[in-house]
Amino acid sequence: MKKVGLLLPEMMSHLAHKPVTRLYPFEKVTAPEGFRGTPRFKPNNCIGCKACVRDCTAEAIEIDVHKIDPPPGSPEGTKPTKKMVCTIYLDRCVHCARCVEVCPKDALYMDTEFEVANFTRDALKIVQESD
Amino acid sequence: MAESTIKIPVGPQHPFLKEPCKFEFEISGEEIRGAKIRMGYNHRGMEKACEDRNYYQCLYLLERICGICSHSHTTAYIQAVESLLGLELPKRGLYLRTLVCELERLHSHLLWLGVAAHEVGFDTLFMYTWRDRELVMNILEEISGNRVNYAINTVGGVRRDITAEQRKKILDLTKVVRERVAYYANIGTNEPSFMARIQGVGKMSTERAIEKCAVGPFARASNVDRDVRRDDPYAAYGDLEFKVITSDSCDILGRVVVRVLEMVESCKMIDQLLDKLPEGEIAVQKVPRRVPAGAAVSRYEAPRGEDVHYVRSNGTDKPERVKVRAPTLCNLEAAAESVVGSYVADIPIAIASIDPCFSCTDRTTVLLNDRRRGVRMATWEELRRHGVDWYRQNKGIRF
Repeated sequence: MKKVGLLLPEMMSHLAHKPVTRLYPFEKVTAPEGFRGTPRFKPNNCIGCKACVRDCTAEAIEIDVHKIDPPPGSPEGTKPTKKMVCTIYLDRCVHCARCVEVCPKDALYMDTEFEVANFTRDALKIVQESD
Repeated sequence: MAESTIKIPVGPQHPFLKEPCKFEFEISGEEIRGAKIRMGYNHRGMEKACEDRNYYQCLYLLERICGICSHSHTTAYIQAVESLLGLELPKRGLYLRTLVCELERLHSHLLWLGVAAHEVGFDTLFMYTWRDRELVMNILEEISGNRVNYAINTVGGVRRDITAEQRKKILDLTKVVRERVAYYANIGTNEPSFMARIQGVGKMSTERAIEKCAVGPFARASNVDRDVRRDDPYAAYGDLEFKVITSDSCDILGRVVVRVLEMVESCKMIDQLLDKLPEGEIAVQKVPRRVPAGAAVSRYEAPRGEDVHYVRSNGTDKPERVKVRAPTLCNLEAAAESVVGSYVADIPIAIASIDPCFSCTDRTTVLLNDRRRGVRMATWEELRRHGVDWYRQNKGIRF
């Protein structure tokens, strides 16, 4: 059964509505809680097991473990400390959050930041060091 | 006098194609007499890349095969891996996986309806369907953490549980979608300008659809009663009650009707899933990283049709082979045939009626028996004789 003007009621109802298009970026948009935004390190929690490096699909994580010998004059038997240098390449990251899931020490988390676009790749390389 | 025809090439780059693919249409006046298809412009080497990655890395790589049915590909892959591992999944995990499957079907069908409306020049409907699709996308974003690549699957279950608040939101969503779908069903089957473009266009008979191995809503619109969810239930589909929608009109109108009514069925399934949602774990706690040697095939009813994944393992933590058969591959040949008999202006909607996804489908193309390039196909016996001759002539070795 062909009927003319079936869309008219819907179109007319929109005369009284505001447009559904959001004026981003002039209007700030926030992502919902639990959104997989940007991965961040907490280098002090890292133990250098590299479970995240092994499972990262995009090979976006690098962890360098530096051994620091105790300063001269330290008591006998002082163990060398470890320093973690954690690098995330955000240009390669696919935001799957597998690294967060696999980390045994909660040294990684995802925040809801999504406006990470930049003009250079170097700006997307985030290096964090443990104390 | 023999009828004169001319051939017009369309693609690989063409405004009506969203992805590269080449068609060659043979036309007589305005009528299409033949259609040929040539693929291979969008090969991404994902299957090969999987061989160099562990099972978890492959999961997130395979999710990126398709932007619309990302959950379909991960579920098909993960089911194969889980069957190799012999895992028994907790019920709640299976239900949540199925919930995302059906939400994905909702947004995919709404997207297709919009694309179909756009291809016939009915952009008002396109805008409205995509506006309503946004509701589904927002829910998916909230429960999974992303709009497109949900990444909710993991080996042995799902990664996130839903809260009581999210459950309520999903139930509200199904109510809205039901109303909207009823409205679109009315427009799709009654609006004269839309009907004039889709009724009797892109005809594909039941017999030819079966011969051309068509799958999914495209086949069901040609009255081929096949659906993996009913025929070979996976995840939680065995516990759900639903109808497999078919249509006997065998044209694009049928494909619209099948997809629209499938959305209603999806809403019913989502309601059932949330009603019956069992308590308990959402994933198997300890999953071994090494997968025992073996091979598994998994079938999955993606929004576009049957998706098949084959995984072969060799006892390590990396698969030896992953093969993906996306539904578009089955439907493309049939779509090219369905165009024959229609007019040139019907080409975009007839090809779009299968919901094509060329980059999911493309694999390497090897040309055999190409004398110009010195390539030819050889039997095993010929190859052996060639080897024996080559060693005798070049190395002086006699076998």
